Amino acid sequence: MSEPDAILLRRARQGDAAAFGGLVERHQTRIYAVCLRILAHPDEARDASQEAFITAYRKLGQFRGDAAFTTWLHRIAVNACYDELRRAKRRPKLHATESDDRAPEPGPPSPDPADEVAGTIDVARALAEIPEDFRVVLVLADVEDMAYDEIARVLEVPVGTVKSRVHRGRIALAKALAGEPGRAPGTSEGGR
Amino acid sequence: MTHPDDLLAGYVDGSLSGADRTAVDAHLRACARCREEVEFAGSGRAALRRLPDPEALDLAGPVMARLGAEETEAAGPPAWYRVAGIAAAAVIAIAVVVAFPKVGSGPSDDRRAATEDAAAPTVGGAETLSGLTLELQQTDYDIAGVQALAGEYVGRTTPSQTAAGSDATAPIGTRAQAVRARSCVTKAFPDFPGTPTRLISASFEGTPAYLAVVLEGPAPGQPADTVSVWVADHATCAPLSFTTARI
Repeated sequence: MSEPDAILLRRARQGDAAAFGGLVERHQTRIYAVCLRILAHPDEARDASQEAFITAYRKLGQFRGDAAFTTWLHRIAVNACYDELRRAKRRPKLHATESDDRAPEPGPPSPDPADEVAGTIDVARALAEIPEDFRVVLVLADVEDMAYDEIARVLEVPVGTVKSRVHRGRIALAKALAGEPGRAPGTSEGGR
Repeated sequence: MTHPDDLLAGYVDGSLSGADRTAVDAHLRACARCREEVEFAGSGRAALRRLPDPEALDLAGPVMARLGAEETEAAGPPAWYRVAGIAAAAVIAIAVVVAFPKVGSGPSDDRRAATEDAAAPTVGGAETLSGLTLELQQTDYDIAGVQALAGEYVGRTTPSQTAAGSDATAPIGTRAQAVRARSCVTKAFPDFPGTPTRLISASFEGTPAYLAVVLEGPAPGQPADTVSVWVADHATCAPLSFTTARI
């Protein structure tokens, strides 16, 4: 179907579940890609993506149309990723004394099959090592090709902050790829 | 020396142009620190650009299944205009409005009625909606399409209560949505028989609409000899179209 987002949105807001399904089908690949690069785990990325669409459905009535649907949807997806990252940080503590069959958090992230084919596992892993705020803007800017002003709207931060994080994030990623341990020098935001 | 930190990201990815780019070029000739940063940043960006698209996956299926399960559980329409129906007993139902933000003009009363209807489906007659489903189609019908829909039943000698021409691939709405669809068509057409063979959520000439297909015989209990299609506006429940044909 080639109906614009706005038409599908209008129908979805009127209770047409199929129209919302059309929106999910249209945006699922991009949203999953964002979540995968931020979270680095295919399963967690799938969960966060699903959660993002569920949240979007519940909040359709709040979408005012003064932003592009994709911007709004990305904001929800990024927030779902931050929620997932927070859960992941708590998880080892919650399960440290339990003897259930849940495996401990793996060190390196599990790769996406496409990364194995393309030989880019190291890049995905290095991306997972840099600070979250840098990772998020890098995914939006350099993986999704989103303009700085749109990233600013997604994250609801000043555009100068986005530019600063992108630049510092790229440097941090390059140094992580070069095997420099810890946080790469020069990765503070300098007041931005 | 002041470093143009806010310009270096755009310089690296090429989005910086004009005087700003010229200024950064001039700065880089004199600043080893920024030259090194630009080199690292370019390397980082190039690495990211090599990342492939992830393998395709279906999120629509599980997302819609989960939403469908939640709606069935809530026995009501989506959350932004949901009213909650509370059944106090098997027969008597009380619908309580817990949230009712305006989402436009028109549909409010009908939505409330539909949900109350869902809580007490036998109100108004012995006939119920058991077994009747709402097909969620993305088709945009026009009058010719409506006539073609009726035409699917022409020539059938033993039309049954099952949706003979139904789109088996179309998703199915919740029971509450089916109740609302029938309620909407009934509101649009006072003479609507009320026993549709098939209910469809689609659109008519660009307007979201419900379509009800009805098979009727010359008298109760006799084989159907007429098919009719009734089309009502999804939001306002106004009549949009109608056609009938001999089977």
